[in-house]
Amino acid sequence: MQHLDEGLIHAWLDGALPPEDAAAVESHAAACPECAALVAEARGLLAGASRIVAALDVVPGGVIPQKKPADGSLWRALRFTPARAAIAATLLVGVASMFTARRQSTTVTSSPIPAPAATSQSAPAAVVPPSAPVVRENTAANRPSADQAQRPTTPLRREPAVAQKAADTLGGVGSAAQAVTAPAAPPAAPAAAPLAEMRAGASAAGVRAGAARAFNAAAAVRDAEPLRCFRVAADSLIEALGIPSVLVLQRDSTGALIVRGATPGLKIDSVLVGATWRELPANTTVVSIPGRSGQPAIQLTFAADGTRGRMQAGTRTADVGIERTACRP
Amino acid sequence: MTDLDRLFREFNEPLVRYLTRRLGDRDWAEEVAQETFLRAARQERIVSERSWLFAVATNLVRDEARKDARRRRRLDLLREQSKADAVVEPEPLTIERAEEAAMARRALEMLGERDREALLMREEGLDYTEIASALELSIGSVGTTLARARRRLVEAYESLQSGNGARGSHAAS
Repeated sequence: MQHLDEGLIHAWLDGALPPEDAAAVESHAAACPECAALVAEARGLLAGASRIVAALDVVPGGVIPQKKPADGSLWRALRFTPARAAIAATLLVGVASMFTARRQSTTVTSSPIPAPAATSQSAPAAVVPPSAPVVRENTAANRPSADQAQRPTTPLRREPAVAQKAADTLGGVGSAAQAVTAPAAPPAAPAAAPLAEMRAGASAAGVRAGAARAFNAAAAVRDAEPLRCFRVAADSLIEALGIPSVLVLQRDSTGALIVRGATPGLKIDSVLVGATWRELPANTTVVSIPGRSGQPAIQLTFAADGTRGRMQAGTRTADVGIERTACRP
Repeated sequence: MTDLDRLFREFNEPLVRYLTRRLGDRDWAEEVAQETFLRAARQERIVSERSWLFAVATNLVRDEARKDARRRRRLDLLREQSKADAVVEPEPLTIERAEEAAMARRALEMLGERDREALLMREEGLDYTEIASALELSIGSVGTTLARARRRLVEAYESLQSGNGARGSHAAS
């Protein structure tokens, strides 16, 4: 009696065998314990693989775009069908839509940045004139030193449409946070001593440089000199939360500190909106990423020169591998 | 255009799902699906429609995988713009589900391309004849291909799972 091979068993379980062959397999499996065991194993693999494939279908519930770029009437006709309308427009990246995954570009998201109390320049937090640029307007005046510290300052460019929509999405909160004056940092801090200034700046205000940055604005800051870089070891939790594999602390052209994400090749490709980077005593660094709907707040704590860190995401904590890395590839 | 409408109604959803699982990117998947249907519209007659559609879509994906990253960035920008337009907040997605999805994706990527495609097509209900035709395999080898794909996927997933368990995630703090 010839034993059943794996391919045949799977074909039988998939109902792909003609009736005579299927009957032969079935009767053999009934008579042969080894083959019966193989069949049982195959059933398990079949079901397991199905479940795993189904797990790919992460459905955050639909981030439904109001409009998409139209490529012509046929395309539009194909897009708007009852079937489509019924399917939640899943964006797998919506899993961690606050941050972008390694290869993606800047996010423009609505992070719930608390509007700082007395420092907001614009009067009511809720009112944001649509034409207001989504960036501090007074930083040039406040931080001339920061400009010096930068490479040639490119005025932050942004797609007006994107920035405006981002502002609308954020409501007034994010933009009000944008209007927060930079804390009174000592002027004329030379580029050579970013650390002291960073400490002073970082400790003064909790939330910095938050809110929306349009894609082009991110492009403008991409060339700014990174101050610190850390590589985060990847695992599925890190990936699920969308934490980039390299965290970069930078100062943008307005002088604000921003936390960015980069690929392992040190290619900066994301801004962690609303994230803060603090240096604490005992050589500890804390990166805090605010939570949003569906995403808990995340805090990464690590020794500035060490190799281990701790991540807290909501109520979960986990050890993570974090190591200091050179900011140049 | 009736044929195209019918084809679209019947096959768009499974095709997009197959492509999304294959690519990990819903927008890209929809673009490929639309291109597939446009090509179908140009055909005089398609004998085995589902198989043909999946075959064309699969080949498009393979071709596109060779293109450079610039195209993806453009798509990313479009997606970011439409996210900025969005007003509907997604349902909260648990970390656990997101973790599973990330692990599932990593496990799937450990499969060979053909094995992966065969498995994803099977999960969309294509039969052995259709899979054989779409991937240019002999019908006799489809079973072996699926057996190998399923075994590797499950083993890969389990090893990722146990790798994470060893990291010592504490449940509560």
